[in-house]
Amino acid sequence: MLRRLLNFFSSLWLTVVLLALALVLVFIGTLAQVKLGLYVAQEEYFRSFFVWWQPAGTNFKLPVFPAGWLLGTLLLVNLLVAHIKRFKLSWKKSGILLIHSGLIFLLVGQFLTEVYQVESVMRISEGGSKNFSEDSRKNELAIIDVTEAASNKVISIPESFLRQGEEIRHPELPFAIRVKTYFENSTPTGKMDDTPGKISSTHGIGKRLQFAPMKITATMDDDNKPTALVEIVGGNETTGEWIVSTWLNRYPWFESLNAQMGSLLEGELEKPQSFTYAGRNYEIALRAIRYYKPYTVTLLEATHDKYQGTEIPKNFSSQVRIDNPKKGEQREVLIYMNNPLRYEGETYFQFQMNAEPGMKSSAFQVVRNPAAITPYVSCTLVGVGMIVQFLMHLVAFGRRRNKATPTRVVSEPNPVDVGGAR
Amino acid sequence: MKQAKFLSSSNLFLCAGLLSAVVIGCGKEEINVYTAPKDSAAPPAYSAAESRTSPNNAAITAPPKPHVTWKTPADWEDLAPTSMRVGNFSITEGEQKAEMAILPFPGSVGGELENVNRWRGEVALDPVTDKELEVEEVTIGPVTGKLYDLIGPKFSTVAAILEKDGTSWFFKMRGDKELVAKNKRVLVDFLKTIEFAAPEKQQAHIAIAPYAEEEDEDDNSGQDQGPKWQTPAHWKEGPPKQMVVKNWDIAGADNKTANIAISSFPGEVGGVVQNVNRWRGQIGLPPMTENEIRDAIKVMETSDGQSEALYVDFTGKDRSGQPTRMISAIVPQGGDTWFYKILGDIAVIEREKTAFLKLVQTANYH
Repeated sequence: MLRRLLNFFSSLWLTVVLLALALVLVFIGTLAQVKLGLYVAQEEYFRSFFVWWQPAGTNFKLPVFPAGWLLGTLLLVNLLVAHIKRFKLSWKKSGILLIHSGLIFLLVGQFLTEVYQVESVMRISEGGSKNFSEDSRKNELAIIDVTEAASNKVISIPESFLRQGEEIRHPELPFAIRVKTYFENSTPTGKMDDTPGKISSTHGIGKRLQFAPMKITATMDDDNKPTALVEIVGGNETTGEWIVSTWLNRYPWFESLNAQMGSLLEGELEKPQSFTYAGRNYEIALRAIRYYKPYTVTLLEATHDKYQGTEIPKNFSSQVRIDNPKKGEQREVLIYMNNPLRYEGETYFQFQMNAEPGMKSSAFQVVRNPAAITPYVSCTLVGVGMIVQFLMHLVAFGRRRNKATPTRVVSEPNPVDVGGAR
Repeated sequence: MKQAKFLSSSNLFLCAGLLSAVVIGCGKEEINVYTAPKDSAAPPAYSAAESRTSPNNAAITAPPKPHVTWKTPADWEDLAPTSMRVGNFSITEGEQKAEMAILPFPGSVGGELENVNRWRGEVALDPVTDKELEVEEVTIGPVTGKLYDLIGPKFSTVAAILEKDGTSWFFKMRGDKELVAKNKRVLVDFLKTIEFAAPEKQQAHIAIAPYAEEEDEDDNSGQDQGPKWQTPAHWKEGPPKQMVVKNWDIAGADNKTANIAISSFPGEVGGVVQNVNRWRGQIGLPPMTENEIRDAIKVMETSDGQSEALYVDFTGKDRSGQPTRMISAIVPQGGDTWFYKILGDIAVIEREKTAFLKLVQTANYH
């Protein structure tokens, strides 16, 4: 049985089949981007084990094709088992061994990156500070207990929990949250609009601003703006209904909505949606998942250089100050293109910049990747392996050449012989 | 032969078992609970002009908003700001009355000539061309703006326009001819005291545009008898429609028609951009960008001087492909928003445009 298993996983046939499937996957995954957009296609075709298909009118999904993680895992297993099965420790094989180790490390590292890497964005106005970054894609329903003077307690509910009819309970929540409506994508609207399915609420901004469902977007220059109508229920009593939406806080949608509606809604948009339950004060929001830092980043100066006489950007750079009270550290750093800040396990890349006078701001892409070092290690291993392999071939060639040399020397004219002839 | 061995059922079974283990081992998203610092705990604080309180009470940055401060002249009475007016003053002398307002708008709101001609119309003056436009220079705080003295037969307007940092500022005094003439010098001196200040300065009068303080909605002291509109006799009131407060049918030549509909919502509006693009969609026009809409929007003041109407005028096609025109206006009034729309035949609407805009301007909401 074990032999059969080893034979299967070490088979070259498996390698060929997996590589062929990977080829097909890349092809169909690329085509799928037209309909699904880059991010969703990546998630469905490459960052999962199977490509799933939901038959029309049903609630279940069927796996129809192996996706990126499955093919990568099987290729890795194939490579490892083949090595284990055929492994012979010898100096002659050391180069090949190093090259293969580098490839294995690369595959493992890439898998770890896929699973553990967190990408977020920190957007700061010139002169402003931030101590958190926001997830680029994922949202949370945040229930924030703001009763204590010292700090807030945040109960972060992933957006995936927001499904119509769902009742969310948690030991830290003294009430239940009923999801009455959930739109994966939405638009703010008024009563004039006869869009079917629009929602309003009994409390908060939903009393004045309604939201209607929208077709899910797949384009790179747009985001889905989810909205939900939730009811806070304690025991058998309802505290009220609230509309939560990323329209109310995510950049640039909030800024756009506020610019259009801020004055008409008389500042309502800027107020937190809050309620009191059992003597404690809560705020509720559907927002980007936040990653708080034990330090603060202050944007001292944002510079946006253009090539003279053109609008073509030449250089973005941000002078920032790090304040880390735990370490007693305060220092200034210049972040610019290709020169990120690496701090506390995170890398801050210069991402976007708004250079409009009076509105200057800079956005940093904040990447936490515990496996960030793996590509460097793999490249080193592969590089050293290739050098070792090359040198071994070179030495062997030299040896062969040296072995051949005496016969050739004999055949050459010998100075002594020549002299002797004289 | 080898291939058959590779695809043997036991191999596939083993493979499936391994994959199941891998898939089952995959994690699921969970609810997290954590402690986050309060706003004030995030040092160092940044200016109020550049910050706002997000719906979750944590500091996040937003573009700064324009701020303005002034010194009120002795004879002017400070009134509460409205949703459109960041500065609001009343001037009275005996029977004569005038008012002065500071109005910020994003973008150029129609342009200089368009605005001046609208103001001229308000004081019963004919429109002028670009060449006929009489402009004076005026000092508005640290910068120079344009001043227009529009003297009508009974009423006059003295107004200054300034475009600063993407915002159009209107400083507009309108009222009885003699009183306005008398206060022109006072207005010019007043404009010198304007400061586009950072909010930290905390001066005597400070307004954050475009967010004015809440208005007192109980002004009508329970005497609310419903809104009233001035309509020409040939407009025929239509049957009640869902969500429409009032509507009229207008007949034109060759059986061509147009319809006017008024709706009101208690502060509930879907946003100027969304509404304008929805209207455009109704006459088969593609959506416009926010900037394009800003340029397309025209502004006029309502006759009670309490608010401004934003309106757009588009020509497209109806569902049957016939050319059609639409003029739509949005009027914020107290906590409510009123929508006015005239839709129909191009020629009919051209004929009724003035009456429609007058309907919007002269509406009495109390």
